[in-house]
Amino acid sequence: MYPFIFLQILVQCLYEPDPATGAPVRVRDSYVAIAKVCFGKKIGARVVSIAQIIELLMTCILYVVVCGDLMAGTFPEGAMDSR
Amino acid sequence: MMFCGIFLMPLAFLKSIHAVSVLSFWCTMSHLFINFIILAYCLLEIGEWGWSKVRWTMDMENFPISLGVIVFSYTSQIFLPTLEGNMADPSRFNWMLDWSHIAAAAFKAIFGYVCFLTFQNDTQQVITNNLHSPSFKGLVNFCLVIKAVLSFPLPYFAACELLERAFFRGKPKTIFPKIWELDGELKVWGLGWRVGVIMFSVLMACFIPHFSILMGFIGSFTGTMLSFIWPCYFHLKLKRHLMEQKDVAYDYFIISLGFLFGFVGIYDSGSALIKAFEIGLPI
Repeated sequence: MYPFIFLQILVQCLYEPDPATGAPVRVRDSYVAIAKVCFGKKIGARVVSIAQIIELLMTCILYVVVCGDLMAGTFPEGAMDSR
Repeated sequence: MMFCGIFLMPLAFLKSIHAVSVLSFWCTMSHLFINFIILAYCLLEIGEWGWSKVRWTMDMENFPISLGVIVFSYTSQIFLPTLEGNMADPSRFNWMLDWSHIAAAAFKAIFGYVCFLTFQNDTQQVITNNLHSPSFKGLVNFCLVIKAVLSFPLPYFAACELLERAFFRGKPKTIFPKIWELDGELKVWGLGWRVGVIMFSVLMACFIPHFSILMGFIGSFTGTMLSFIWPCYFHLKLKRHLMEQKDVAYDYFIISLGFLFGFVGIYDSGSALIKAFEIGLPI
């Protein structure tokens, strides 16, 4: 579907056409690998890695926060503190 | 939070994305179960639905806040290269991507619509807080805790892989030696490192105040970069010679949307953060 193309373009960047056959070949294997090509080997890859790690760790921490809030909401009389 | 952290410790032993997929599958199942229960409850109250209360105009004051939450809930670009690489049949990747997003959007829209009809103007941000009887609410909250615990493995596994790739591939590539033995098992201190990542998450969750607003603030920056701006930029840089005019225009459109969402998100969460610290809202 056309509006969803922007989801597919990242994976499209992993493939390059094979010079012999023209069929797509997977040359890069991760977001950071694409960043190395586009932004520069040292700084680009590092910036993207750091952004990804921050995003993922924050997602992890958020799930723990959600657990805590839900448990605190379930026992409002204070049997469980939200910590 | 510390109590839930205890249940997360076994995740340090995760080795393959297959195990993570199984856990994520059960996470989706529990999510469907919760949706089903709440929708059934709402349908039971069908006599009291407020059909006239639904507004079809856009509310410019509240829309930016919901925009941040919506954008965050769809950020999946980080996982896509790994997912596509591990699929048994990568040719169906695009089909899977389209339909999973459509299904997610339809589900959320219908769920929000039905719950708003049931609770009308009293609808709270966390919809399950609307439920009246404490035992039903307790049951649903417990299921939600299970869902949150089952959602943890995917970002945790991805974060561990990235950190391993950055720091633990053995000299001379990285500073620290490998954390895996030759037979595929984790070394003891490697396990300690993984448990340390979980402990770090739990401690940060416990001790950073107003984490959700802070997350909105940082996430508006990193999330929009990772999901909107950088993929389009890479696509333009690598594939421009193969693209048609309308594809190029669409990419620039998405990049500008990304900047717009980023600025709006940073501005809104920044001011919310400042207000929260000034007034001293409960953490």
